[in-house]
Amino acid sequence: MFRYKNPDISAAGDQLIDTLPMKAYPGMHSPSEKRLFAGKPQAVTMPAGASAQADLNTALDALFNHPNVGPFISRQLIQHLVASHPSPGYIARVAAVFNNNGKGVRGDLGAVARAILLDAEAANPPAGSVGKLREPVARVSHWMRSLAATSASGQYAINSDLEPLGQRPYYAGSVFGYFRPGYVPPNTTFSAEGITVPPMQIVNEATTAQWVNLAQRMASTGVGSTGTQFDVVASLQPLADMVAAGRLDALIDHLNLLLYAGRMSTSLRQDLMEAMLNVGGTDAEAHLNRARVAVFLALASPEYMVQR
Amino acid sequence: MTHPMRTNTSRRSFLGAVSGLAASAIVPSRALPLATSLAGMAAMATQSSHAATTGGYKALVCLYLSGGSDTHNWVVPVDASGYAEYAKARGELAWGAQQLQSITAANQGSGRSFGMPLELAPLRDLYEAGQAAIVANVGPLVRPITRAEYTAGIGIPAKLFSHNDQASTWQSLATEGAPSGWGGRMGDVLMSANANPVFTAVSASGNAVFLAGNQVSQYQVGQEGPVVVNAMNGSTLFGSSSASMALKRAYSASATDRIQQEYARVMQRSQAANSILQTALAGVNVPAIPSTAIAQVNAGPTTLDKLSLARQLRMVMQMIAANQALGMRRQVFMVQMGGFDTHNGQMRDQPTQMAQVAQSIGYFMSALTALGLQNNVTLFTASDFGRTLLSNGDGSDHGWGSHHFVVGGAVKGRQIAGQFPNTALGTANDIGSGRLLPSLGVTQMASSLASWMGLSSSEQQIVLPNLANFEAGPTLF
Repeated sequence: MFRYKNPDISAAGDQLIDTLPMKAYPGMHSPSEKRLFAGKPQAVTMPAGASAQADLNTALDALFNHPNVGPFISRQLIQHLVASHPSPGYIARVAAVFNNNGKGVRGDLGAVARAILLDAEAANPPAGSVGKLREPVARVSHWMRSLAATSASGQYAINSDLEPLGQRPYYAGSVFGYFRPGYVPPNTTFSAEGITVPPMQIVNEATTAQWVNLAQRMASTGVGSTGTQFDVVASLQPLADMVAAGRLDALIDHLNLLLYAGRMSTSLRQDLMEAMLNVGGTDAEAHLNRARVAVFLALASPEYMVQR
Repeated sequence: MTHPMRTNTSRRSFLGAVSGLAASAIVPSRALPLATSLAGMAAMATQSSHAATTGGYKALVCLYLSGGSDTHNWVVPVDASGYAEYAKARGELAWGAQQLQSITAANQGSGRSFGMPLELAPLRDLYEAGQAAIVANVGPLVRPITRAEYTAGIGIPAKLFSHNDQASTWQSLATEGAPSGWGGRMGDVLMSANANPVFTAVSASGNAVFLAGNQVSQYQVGQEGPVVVNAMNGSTLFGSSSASMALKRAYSASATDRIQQEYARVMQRSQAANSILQTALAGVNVPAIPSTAIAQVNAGPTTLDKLSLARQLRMVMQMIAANQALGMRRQVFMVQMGGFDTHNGQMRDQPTQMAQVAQSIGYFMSALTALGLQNNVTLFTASDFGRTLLSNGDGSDHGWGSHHFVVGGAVKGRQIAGQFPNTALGTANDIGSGRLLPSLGVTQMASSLASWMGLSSSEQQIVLPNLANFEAGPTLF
């Protein structure tokens, strides 16, 4: 994804540079001595005359072995997987596993993921802690998986629908991503306590409104308009069949399980039920509309934004 | 860290503002339409700022060039020895002399003259017409320092050369994680003058720390205007007449989960502001963006009216034009364009970027003039940092000081403010590879802009906590 200056990528096999592992180009390399972390305990000197590949290996090893890496990566992984504002203790427990998986191996990401997901703070969040805000890409992916969405083109054309939400896939506005790990929403109850909520950085007056409009398409036409059709369409017929069989409670249970992990509030359940009962008619289209309105309210509700 | 804003004065105004808010805006009653929560915001306007209540409407617009713009190539010495120094220092990154159009710059010493690339012609025209000034070699400083102090490690701003930190420092005077920016802090002081304080700090380009205040929340408007939530504005939804009400209720109800509560609060703000803004915008008629042809890098030519920057500026102009309908007296705006991190392909990319910026500003100023608002609006450019003079072979790397533009009818134009350094390696301003030690602090440039907005020197101390470390800012107005 990143390249510095303008290496000659004409060699066979180099054209797909953006998808290949990082590679050293000797012609772009200075043979002078290089020092990393000079004056620090982790100082590393790369002697003059070393090859580009040797210097690259030394530099990557020096970065990988820096003691800040464990806490740095652990905090961000926890933020993406479990909670926006993990406690220092949680980060320390995960970082310890990054540093040593118990068998003397540093950087075992499988062990790190296990430590994150099985930590007591993940299973039983302390009172007053915050979970995490479901980011737009995760919402759309969640909808696609939960309701067996299919793509007519096979390309899952969701980019143009996610752009107004501030999260066009593979197209972050900055090399640092869509939002920053240290983001504290200003002027909120979070800022008073210095609580980080990174995905809140792309929540604003425009994106909150856009999400509800997108949820309406997700619950009906599908997304990824090509002008004549929609590329990604959810399978709502099984839900409509439940309606037709009079199983409205079961439909709500189904959405509660798939979209809310069983945590849908009583008042939202009532809203879904009321909205479905409010649709007139007994034909197939009416049943489908009942399914649509239930899916819409489940996706558009502010309750859906929270993962914990 | 002790927050520098916590002076007695600001604490008082903070408490006053919060008590106004708490009455109704944070937890709107389920029985009230969302729009009335704005009344709570308006209650914050009880405290008067002497600064903002004098004079007519004023708006400050930050045009942010994301990535660190190489402005060594935007303003170039054209006298024989100055150009020779520039060409020698830049190598393949130097424009040919024939690509530069000279500008009037009297105050930079005898024998020195300057030019701008042809692609910047609309900006040059504004400069020559006295409606744009150049601020030379400005950058983040804690206090003025010498090269010797820099070398000795004394008084250096934190995390120089780092994108996220210097972008934050330009916008807030602190590294990433800063809770507020100087645009938002100006808004804190000024919001009481506005009938709709919610529109005091407005971004047309997403979330930016520049506009975050301690009391002001930035209002983020889409570049096509406020976004209507279809499901909240229709009667039936998929044949159900209760769904729309249920949704509105869900966004008005208070939640125990803090993230849910805050998310809903943003939606409430959105809905409340929408109805007011749509009504106000319906009454304004802003000149359309012309379909001037614009070159693009790695893509076919496009036209100005399709360019995001021009469209953001048009949205800002619509809000400016609606200032009377909205009861606004002081506003701070932000627009943004990306792609300036030119480590490679700089000579390929810069002509397009300069043309896009200059044409967008040209449209903005000509349309403002058509509306008779050109003296009420000042636009300035900002960027993460300047870049190295020295070429890396195909581009330039992260630097520090850079040259920026201040544009508007009120601006004392046709001048280069500050000291334009010699564009050469090894000068008293060169801290290595042609990275410029700034001769003016961002704080000083911000102070000049804040003065124009009407902030007193004590108010400026609140907005710019390190102001006392500097001499007066450049005379830009």
